Amino acid sequence: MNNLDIFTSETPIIELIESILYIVGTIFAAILIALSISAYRNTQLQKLLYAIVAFLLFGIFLFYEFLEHSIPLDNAFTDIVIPSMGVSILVLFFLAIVNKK
Amino acid sequence: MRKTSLNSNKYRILRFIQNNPGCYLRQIRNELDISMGSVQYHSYQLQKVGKITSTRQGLYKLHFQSGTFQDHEKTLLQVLNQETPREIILLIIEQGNPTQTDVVKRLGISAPSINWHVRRLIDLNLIDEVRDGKYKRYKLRDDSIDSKYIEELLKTHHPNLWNKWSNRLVETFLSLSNEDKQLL
Repeated sequence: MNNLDIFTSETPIIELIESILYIVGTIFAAILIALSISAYRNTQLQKLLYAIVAFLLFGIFLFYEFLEHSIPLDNAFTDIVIPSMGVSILVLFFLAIVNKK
Repeated sequence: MRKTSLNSNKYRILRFIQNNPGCYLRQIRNELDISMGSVQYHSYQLQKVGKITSTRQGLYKLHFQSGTFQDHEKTLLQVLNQETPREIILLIIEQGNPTQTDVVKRLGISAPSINWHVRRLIDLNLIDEVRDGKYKRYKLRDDSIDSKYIEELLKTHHPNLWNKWSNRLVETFLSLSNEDKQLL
């Protein structure tokens, strides 16, 4: 195994790092959801509602990826739902930016 | 014996709320070194008999002595717990009648964000917008609110880290949307 193999093959260390990254990402998404809810309650700024939903979807997306990594969940349904989540997150941020209210 | 101790805690909590209007439960617990259960119980009892009132702001429930604080003063305390509106009010106290441009320059955040916060302060009846030629100037709405009184409140009421972060999230969205570029 040469030095590059550690990054290109599924070694236990890579799998561990992957799991840690998903968990850290999910925790950050949870913090951002709480922060957006707090900001919305303080200001009633409606565009924050888009951010709350976007962060929520992102959290679900990361958590699902983590689960999929631990328990194989590969099916046709997830092949559509997971990319749809990514698109929805981008659409929600776009709406938060362009929405006048 | 237990009853005396509980009454004493109730009195201490009431005194603390009188001296620190807008305080929240965790603050009372930390300052008076009383258990959270006891603080919750006594604050509930004090509210029940009408000695104190409370209002929710974000994650915190702010407590006030009944009758002392009018609605606009409660609003003022809520605003002082948020970073940007607090700094705008401070600037108005310091400069008297700053223009919108002064506020933008001093706070160093985007014009749309400042505009949004200023409009909100006007809606809350805390500040007034006055036309001065081509400039818009701001002043405190209620002249009966003494700037020294606000300064006293500012010493005890400041945004915590969580409120600062949530405020910055709001500013990020306001800056991205760039709602209103007018700056006069």
